Amino acid sequence: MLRDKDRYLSILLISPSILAVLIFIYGFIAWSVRVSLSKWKGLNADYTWNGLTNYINLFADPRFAVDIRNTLIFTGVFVIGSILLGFLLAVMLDQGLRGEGFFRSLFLFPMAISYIVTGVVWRWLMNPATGSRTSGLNLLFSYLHLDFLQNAWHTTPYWGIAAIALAAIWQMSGYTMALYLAGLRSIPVELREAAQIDGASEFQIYRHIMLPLLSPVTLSALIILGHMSLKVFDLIYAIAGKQLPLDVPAIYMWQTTFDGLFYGRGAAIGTLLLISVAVLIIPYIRYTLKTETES
Amino acid sequence: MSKKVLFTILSLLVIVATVLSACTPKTTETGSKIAVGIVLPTKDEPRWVQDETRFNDALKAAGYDVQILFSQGDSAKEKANVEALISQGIKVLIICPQDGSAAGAAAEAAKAAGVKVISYDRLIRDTDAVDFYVTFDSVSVGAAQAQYLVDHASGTGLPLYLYAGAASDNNAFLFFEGAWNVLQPKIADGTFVIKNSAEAVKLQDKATLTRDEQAAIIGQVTTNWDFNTAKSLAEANLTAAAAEDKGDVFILAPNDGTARAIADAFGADKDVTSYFVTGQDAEKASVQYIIDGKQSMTVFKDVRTLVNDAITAAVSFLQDKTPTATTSYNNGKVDVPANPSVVITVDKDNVQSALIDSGYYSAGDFTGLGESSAPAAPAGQVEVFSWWTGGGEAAGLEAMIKVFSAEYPDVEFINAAVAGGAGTNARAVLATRLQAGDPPDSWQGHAGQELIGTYVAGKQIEPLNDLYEAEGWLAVMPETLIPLISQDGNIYSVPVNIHRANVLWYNPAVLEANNVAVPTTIDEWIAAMDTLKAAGVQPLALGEQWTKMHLLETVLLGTLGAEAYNGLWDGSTDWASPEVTTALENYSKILTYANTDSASLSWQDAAQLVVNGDAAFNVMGDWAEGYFRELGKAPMTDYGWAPVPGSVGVFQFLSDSFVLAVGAPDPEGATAWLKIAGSKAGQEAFNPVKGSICARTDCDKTLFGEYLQSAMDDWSSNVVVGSLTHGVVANDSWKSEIDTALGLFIADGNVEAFQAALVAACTSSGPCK
Repeated sequence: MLRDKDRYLSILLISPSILAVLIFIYGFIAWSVRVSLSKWKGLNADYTWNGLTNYINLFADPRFAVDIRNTLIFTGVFVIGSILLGFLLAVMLDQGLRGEGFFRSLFLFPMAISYIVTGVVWRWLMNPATGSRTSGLNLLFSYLHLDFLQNAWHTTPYWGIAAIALAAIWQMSGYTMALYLAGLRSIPVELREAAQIDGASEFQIYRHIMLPLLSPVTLSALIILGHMSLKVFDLIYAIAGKQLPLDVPAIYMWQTTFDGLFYGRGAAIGTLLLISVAVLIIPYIRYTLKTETES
Repeated sequence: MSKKVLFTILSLLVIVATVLSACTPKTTETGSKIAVGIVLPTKDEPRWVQDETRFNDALKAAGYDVQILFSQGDSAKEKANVEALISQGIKVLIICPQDGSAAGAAAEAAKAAGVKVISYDRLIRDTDAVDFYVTFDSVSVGAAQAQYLVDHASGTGLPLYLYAGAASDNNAFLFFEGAWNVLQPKIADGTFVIKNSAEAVKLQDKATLTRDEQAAIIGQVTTNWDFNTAKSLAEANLTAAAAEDKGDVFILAPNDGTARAIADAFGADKDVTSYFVTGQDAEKASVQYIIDGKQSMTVFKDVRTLVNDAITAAVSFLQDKTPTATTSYNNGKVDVPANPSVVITVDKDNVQSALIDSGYYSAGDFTGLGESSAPAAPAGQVEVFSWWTGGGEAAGLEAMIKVFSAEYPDVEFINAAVAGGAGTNARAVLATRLQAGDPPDSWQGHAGQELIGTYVAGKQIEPLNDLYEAEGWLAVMPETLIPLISQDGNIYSVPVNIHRANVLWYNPAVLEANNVAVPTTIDEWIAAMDTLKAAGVQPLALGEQWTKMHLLETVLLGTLGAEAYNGLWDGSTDWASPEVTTALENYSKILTYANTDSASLSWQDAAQLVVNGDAAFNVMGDWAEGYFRELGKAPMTDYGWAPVPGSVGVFQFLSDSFVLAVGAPDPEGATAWLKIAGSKAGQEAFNPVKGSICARTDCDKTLFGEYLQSAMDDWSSNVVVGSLTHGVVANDSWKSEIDTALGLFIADGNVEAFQAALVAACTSSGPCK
């Protein structure tokens, strides 16, 4: 147990950061929630009480419906795609092939790039132009005589957002790979050897030994990727700009607040985003803290 | 030893004094006796100190000896002063009483000694011992103060705070009477609401007040002519007032000293956003306050005239004559003859001409003078905010800055341009700065509702009518433009350039090859595109979502015509009407001729399709022409232009314009910048580089290319209407709701739902009810 003096000193030492966190995080969250319950529209602050009207209107708003649909599609494609691809890459690297270090860096590298850069590059790659103006991936497919793969990418009606998720998968699968690789390496070799001695096939080993042992990694990956996809903004903005078919809550929030000056509505979207991320993150943090204290 | 030195010095002083006093009589004609005695209220107010000097100088010059004493706010001392002067044998007493009633006894003492009494500036009451009254018309002073407040009031329910002079001073009543005469009708009609006097509120429906009624009000709002009383009264009033009784307030302050004290109190209150405060006397300190914008006006009573009039009257009495009188004032006992002088209202606009040029004060007495009044060149800096960071825009801005720097070499120009998102990023930065109370001096914005709906509603930009009048801009800009950039008769921005939105760009070779003529109506256009489509030509090039809104506004204009199109934005055309349905169906039809990859194309990409022969038509603003030139294309061979079908003879404009920030840190620099932005030289420097035409109609045509010359002809002759996409006709909120409706329509193609959403947008954020 700390002596009282040390306890006071430690509280004193961390108090500036606690204060900063209180003001700049929780204070601003509280303020945003307050704005979301107000009639604020226009440049001048207006805190007139508006109850839950902004929220109710959002759920009747056809644009917000598009946003939710897009977010769900994006999250589904992005999370599943990144986990599958990341796992596959991890398993391949785990085979002990030569030059593992090089490939590991290669796959991790996209994570070091900002979403904006990824967005600009994939905007070129996913050019949906046809005929003589065909370019990017579509042109590559045409050279490779894979014309059936040519498509309208993010301009595809309804599913366009999935094309954006491709770029996100490209960026984040290396990170998922790193998570899985670490998980695989932490599984004792003895377990695998014991299974081999018992005559299990390689597939059976992965299905019945490795995968169950990797489930904490999968959960982490799910949570991390999931909350990133809920908040996605810059990637879509860089690829498509402000176009409603690819709208997500973060873009709607930005546009309605700064272009349309609907501050109340923007704050309501922000609050909903926060809640949706919190629903995902808080149980995870509790779970992690619990397992950490237990071990 | 020290006693000896002291004695020597004293002796010397006595000798010098004797010699000097012996000399004095020789310089006067009336002998050694003092002819005129003057008693002034206090040395603590600069006004009376300045009077002392003026009396001394003027009477000495006229050859009379004069002694001037101060009462220091004490009526007993005043009487003692008068008696001292009588004992010196004065013939004429000029007295400005501290207390009009209390001074009666002193005046009577003077009369008993055969001395003529001139009541100077303030009337001595309730005695017949006053021979003449030298004054400004105090009623007209109060009226001038009140008139200033009335002239600067707009709207209703404006908070009004009344302050008066000392209840012991007759002038305080006259000032108040004059003010009440002008203010009362404006209080009765609801323009002003009195906030600090229950007595005044009680009497607010009475056009003329009795002296007792005046006394009741004055008793509540008296400053006693004292700074500290004024300050503490104002502070007490502010403490008692609720925040909603503050905001933009109007203050009747009786004179300069109290005005400064009251202004300081109001200026320090956080709930007071702006105030107008009156004053009188044109004291130096207040003139500085006016230059600094801390006091709104002062009633200038040229004391030199008053001093001269007093001396003229005194000389008449000395020569046993009666001074000329044009009127008389009743002091409660007799009518005192008088010859009042006229008063001048001085505010920031005429401070130079009224006070400096007239020689009343010298310019060196003040700082910051001339920044507001033309002759002296402004200095300092000006921060101008824009999103002109690249291409012709940035080059045009640089050219205009050059003109600015040549004209105003002492003003440092700070170019606060923010890149990105065709202004979206800049506007977000600007919004943040404005909310933080840190406005740039001037910023760029699309002329019209984008500025008005956002910044006028937020009280962040100033009206510029005076500047328009002073610079003669109304005569050189199209008549139909002015209402589109005004709100309630106030013009809020200076348009630098003009672009045309309703331009149909076409590829002449493609049209010729398919035997298609340039369409002039929507139906012709659709027919032409059918022909082209059948021939395997891409009929229409289109880009990302905002270019679709641009197309929408031109199709609305082309279908509805100028008048009904304008009506969409002021509420006189029904968004739910069948005409709008037709327009939206036209739009829906026209979209089917567009390229399928429009969502991934910028406007440049789309426009390029036309000049490259990959598409026949493109609707885009005339900045596209600058882009075509950049690509090395030639007008009329690689590209042709026409008004968007259905809008021949109509100029759908948009304009980049500059505003003046409320609370600009450098208002003089900002005004200087706006003068350049609206000038012929500034616009001729900017527009040929940017590829736009001047907002002025008098620019030199030879500076411009072929397309722009034709645009200039249309600009000065066509009907002018505003663009939606580019911020002229709808405020930001409305436009953003239309944008959402359009985005949903592009996805689902449902015209009925689109029209319903447009109706809802007009109701929620536009003028529709």
